[in-house]
Amino acid sequence: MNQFGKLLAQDAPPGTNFWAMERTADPLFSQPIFWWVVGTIVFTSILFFFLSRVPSNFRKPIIVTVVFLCGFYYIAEWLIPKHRLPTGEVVAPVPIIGNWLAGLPAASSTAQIIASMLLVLGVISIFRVHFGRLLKAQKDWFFSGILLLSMFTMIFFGFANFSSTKSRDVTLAELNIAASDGSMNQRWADFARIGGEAQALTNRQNVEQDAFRRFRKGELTKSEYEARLAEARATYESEIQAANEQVDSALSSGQLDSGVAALARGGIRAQQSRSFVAQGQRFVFTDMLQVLDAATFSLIAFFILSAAFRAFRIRSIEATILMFTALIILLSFVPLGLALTSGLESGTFPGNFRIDSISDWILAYLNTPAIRAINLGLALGYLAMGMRILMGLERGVTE
Amino acid sequence: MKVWQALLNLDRRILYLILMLLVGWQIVAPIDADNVVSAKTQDLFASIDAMKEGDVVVVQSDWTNSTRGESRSQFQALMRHLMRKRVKIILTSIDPQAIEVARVNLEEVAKEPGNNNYELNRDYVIGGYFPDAYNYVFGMVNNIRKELAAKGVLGTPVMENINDLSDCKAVILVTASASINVWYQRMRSKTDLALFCTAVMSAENIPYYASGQLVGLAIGAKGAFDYETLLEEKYGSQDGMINIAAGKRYMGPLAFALMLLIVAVVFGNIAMVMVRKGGSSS
Repeated sequence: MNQFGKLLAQDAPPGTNFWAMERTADPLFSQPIFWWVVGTIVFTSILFFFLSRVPSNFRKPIIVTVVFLCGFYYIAEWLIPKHRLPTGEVVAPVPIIGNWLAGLPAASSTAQIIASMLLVLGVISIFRVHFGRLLKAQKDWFFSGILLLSMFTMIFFGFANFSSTKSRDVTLAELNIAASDGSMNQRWADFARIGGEAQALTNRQNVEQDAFRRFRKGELTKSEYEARLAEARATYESEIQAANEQVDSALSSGQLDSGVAALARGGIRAQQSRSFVAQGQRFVFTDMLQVLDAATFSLIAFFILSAAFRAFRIRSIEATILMFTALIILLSFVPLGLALTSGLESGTFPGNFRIDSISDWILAYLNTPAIRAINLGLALGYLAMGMRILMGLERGVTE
Repeated sequence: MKVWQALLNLDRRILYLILMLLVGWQIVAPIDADNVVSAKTQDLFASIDAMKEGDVVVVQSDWTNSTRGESRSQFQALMRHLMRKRVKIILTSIDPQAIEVARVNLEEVAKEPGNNNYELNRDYVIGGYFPDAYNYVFGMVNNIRKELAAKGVLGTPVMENINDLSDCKAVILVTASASINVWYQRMRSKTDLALFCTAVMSAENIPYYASGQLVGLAIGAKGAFDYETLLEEKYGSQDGMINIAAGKRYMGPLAFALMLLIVAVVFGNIAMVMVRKGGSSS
């Protein structure tokens, strides 16, 4: 399978998905996948052509039939008893139907593909709206430009990093084959040196961070802290030297042992994570998007406080009950709140008045029945709505 | 009367300033308070602690930065526990951003001392993003291998003995949405179900813990701190392990923010009553 095919199939084992179909050495038009793609396009085009020509009085029965069959699939899957044995075999009263339902030949994949297409529609819609605004220099065109730039930067780095990760996995697979043969060469030696350095750096950072935590807690004096840092530096140098010696020894003997293979694996991963696309992806996703996202949502705390102060007023008995219940639950979510009544011993009568006991009681004996009642009502509603949709009575589906 | 009236008309920026000062104080110099670990988190910890080396769990991570304060520390505490137990992980998500957030956090935790240098495809696999939640769960419950076939993970040691969902020891969700509802509907008792959720989701999920459908439940930042406390009790500081982390760090600022909220609500109501009394007497 070529690189593009791998990207589409996401390395699925042959035969498990359409794009993972086995390729032959023949020219493109002789390949089975080529004719499958062409056939699918032709079939879909003909199908859509005829569907668009269907008289309007036949459209409703077609839609209702398709909706009914799709819905009935899930009902049948749910109701027909079946059991999968440890061997993978499905046991059901009607084996063919049971196997077919449990094997999921199409339903799950089709639904995933349709849901994925919605994402593509979303991207196209964003592009149309904001590119149009940018071209016509309408109000806030600048923000539209920033949005499009951000979107395409994210898409570029996302895809490039995905492809780079796939290449890394191919290299790792090659290393695994070399490790099973025990054949050492300069390529694996280079990766092992990088891996040795990366492992030593991780160890050094762990020691330094641990020392800093202990120093901050007062478990280490300043001189002890500095001694730990110096020791970590020295260990770092010696670990790199030891790794290099191990690699040199393996290179001279021509034997790729498990220790050097482990170093090489680390090196392959480290090299990929230091690549331009991986760093770019980290920058736009982890260092920008995540931080901006978190900062935006942290503003909610201010709005909640302001709204609670102005709007949470006791104007009735119900509001009073609601407020006291909320206060108890709020207090039970923080150790400082729990500390207010921690002096009352659990298991005794006064222990029933601990904040955590009252909170647990409210959640178990007041909240749970209420939520169950709401869920029961919702389920009945879903059932009625489901029946209406399946039988084509719901106007939103057919009109 | 003027004092109460002034309190009712308090400029919101003064409230913001007080909140900033309190949270800032707790970030710089947090007050330590003893924790009372909830029974729900204890059950969750115990069920994961009972797993053996080589067991496999499905972890569905559906949180992003909108709930980072709660979900991140929950996810990291869970990863620490699974990695120390050498439990293999199948990581999935129904949120396109969440899977990347989870991967970054998993790799961060894997580098910590004592977490057995977890490696992709050897100790964990990334099942990736599934756009349609219902059909994803449907596929996982009916035919897990087929559902994950296109993700390039079937040939890994993690998936070696997994032919059905019942071969996994548990499905664990770290979520900030109602994504667990489909699991409640479609799970069919094939394996254990556990949940790390945000505080606002607790009310709707506690009934499932009460019915035994959830083997354990960690709620909000307090749930993360509970889990960290249990990790600390079990592992202490052996091998430089990190047990107490963001879960505890968030407790101080959260506690003071909530206390301020409570005080604001109480004083807002007192001021309203006093102003009304003053108005009717005059």
